[in-house]
Amino acid sequence: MKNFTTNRIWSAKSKKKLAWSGQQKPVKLESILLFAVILLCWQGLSTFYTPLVLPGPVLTFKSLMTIFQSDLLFSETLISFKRLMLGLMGAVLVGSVVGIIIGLNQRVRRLLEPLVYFVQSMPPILYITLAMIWFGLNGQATIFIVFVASVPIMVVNIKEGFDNIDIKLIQMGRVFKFSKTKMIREIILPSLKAYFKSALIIIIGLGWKVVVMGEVLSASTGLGSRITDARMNLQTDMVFAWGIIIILLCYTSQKVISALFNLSTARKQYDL
Amino acid sequence: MIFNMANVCKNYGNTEVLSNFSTSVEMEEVVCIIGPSGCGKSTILNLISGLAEPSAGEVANYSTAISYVFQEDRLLPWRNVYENIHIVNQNCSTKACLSLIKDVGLQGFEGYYPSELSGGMRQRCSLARAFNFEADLLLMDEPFKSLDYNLRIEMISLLLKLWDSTRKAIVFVTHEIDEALLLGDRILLLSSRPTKIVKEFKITAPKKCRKLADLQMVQIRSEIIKSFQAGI
Repeated sequence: MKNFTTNRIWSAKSKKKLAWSGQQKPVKLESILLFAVILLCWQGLSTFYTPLVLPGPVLTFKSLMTIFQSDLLFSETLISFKRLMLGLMGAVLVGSVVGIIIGLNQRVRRLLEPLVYFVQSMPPILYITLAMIWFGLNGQATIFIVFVASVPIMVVNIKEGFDNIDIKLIQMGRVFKFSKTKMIREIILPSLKAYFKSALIIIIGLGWKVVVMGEVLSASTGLGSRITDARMNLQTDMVFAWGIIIILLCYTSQKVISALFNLSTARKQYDL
Repeated sequence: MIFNMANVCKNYGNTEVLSNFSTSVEMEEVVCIIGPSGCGKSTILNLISGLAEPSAGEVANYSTAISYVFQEDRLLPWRNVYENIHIVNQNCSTKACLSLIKDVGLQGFEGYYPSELSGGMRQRCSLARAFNFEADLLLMDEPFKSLDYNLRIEMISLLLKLWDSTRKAIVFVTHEIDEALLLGDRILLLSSRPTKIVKEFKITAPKKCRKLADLQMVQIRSEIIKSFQAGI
């Protein structure tokens, strides 16, 4: 057993080494260059306008530092994060269950599929407006809109996963007398994993955008409300700074989800 | 007798694939099935394994369980070689499983995933999986189709070695006359659709010491080729 575990570790290490050498470096350099060009353009454009219309990168960076030094960053991020998580957890739960039922049962699929596409086609501003009417100007409306925006994406992805399960693997399982549990554990769930991961990455990205949008329009707390405050006080540099924080949070969340899935795969390689 | 098909018909829509097809397989017997493409060879295996139901006739299976080597390896991409083989028989000890892996020449690759293996290695893994499953009937559907000549010869001797130690009855579907001559106790030559048995050849020489140049082999080979040329 030791022998092939060592082989796997060696193989994983060598892959990691390859990934960090050679082809990866130029991509990183290009990214830095692109970032520098964007900053230069931004700086250049900002000289033509007043800071009220377009604050430059230096002013934005100073505002960013002010936010980092205040208590607001942690408290407001926590509020938005809680709303995001509540909405997303609901969406993952409901979306997965509905997706699995739709995937397993053709009758339910025929019944629910149009409804899913109907909800997905609704413009976000419509359900934000409805949420404000139903739940008032508080965090509940934000949780609701994250939930409504994410559920159809989850359902459609899980359904796609079901549609793409390799029937030949199912036949293999039947021939080798896999029990129902084994069939689900060994064939169905691993086949859905990639679709589940992709749905999570999409909804967490969308979730951050929707949660901020909801807070801008309907809440007095959270990251979105800070943007509203900054706009009311004509602090465009603060709008930019909060915007950068939201972008970073969104990007990091997507990377964390992706890394967690990769970690679970990598850990499986050393199970034996 | 381990398996019997009597007057079996199988239709896919309006296409009649099998018409009054009858055959049987004895314990420890290796039956090779040869026929033109699309004649329904795989359908016969699917009927035996229960993956397809006959439109008419009777399929009687007396085996305790059936194992299968598919045309494609059908390994679980998220499981490594060891897990793919062990998964079909979890009562199998680690030692026995590793010994089987060694027998098929995959020692050192136990932790590798199917995507990291060559076609031949994946097919060997699939063969080991089939032999690890506790069954007295093994179905093989052109398992060596995608392999080159040398590898195919290697796989045939490997199969003979595994068969010798387990003595499972085997139904082996192939396009290659040589494979059938080296492996089969009986060779069934099938016609094109609707499929019937055109000829049946019995080979008496022990499998271990068969040579393709033997007189009986040459005669059977020549008859099969003639039948193909006559457009069965």
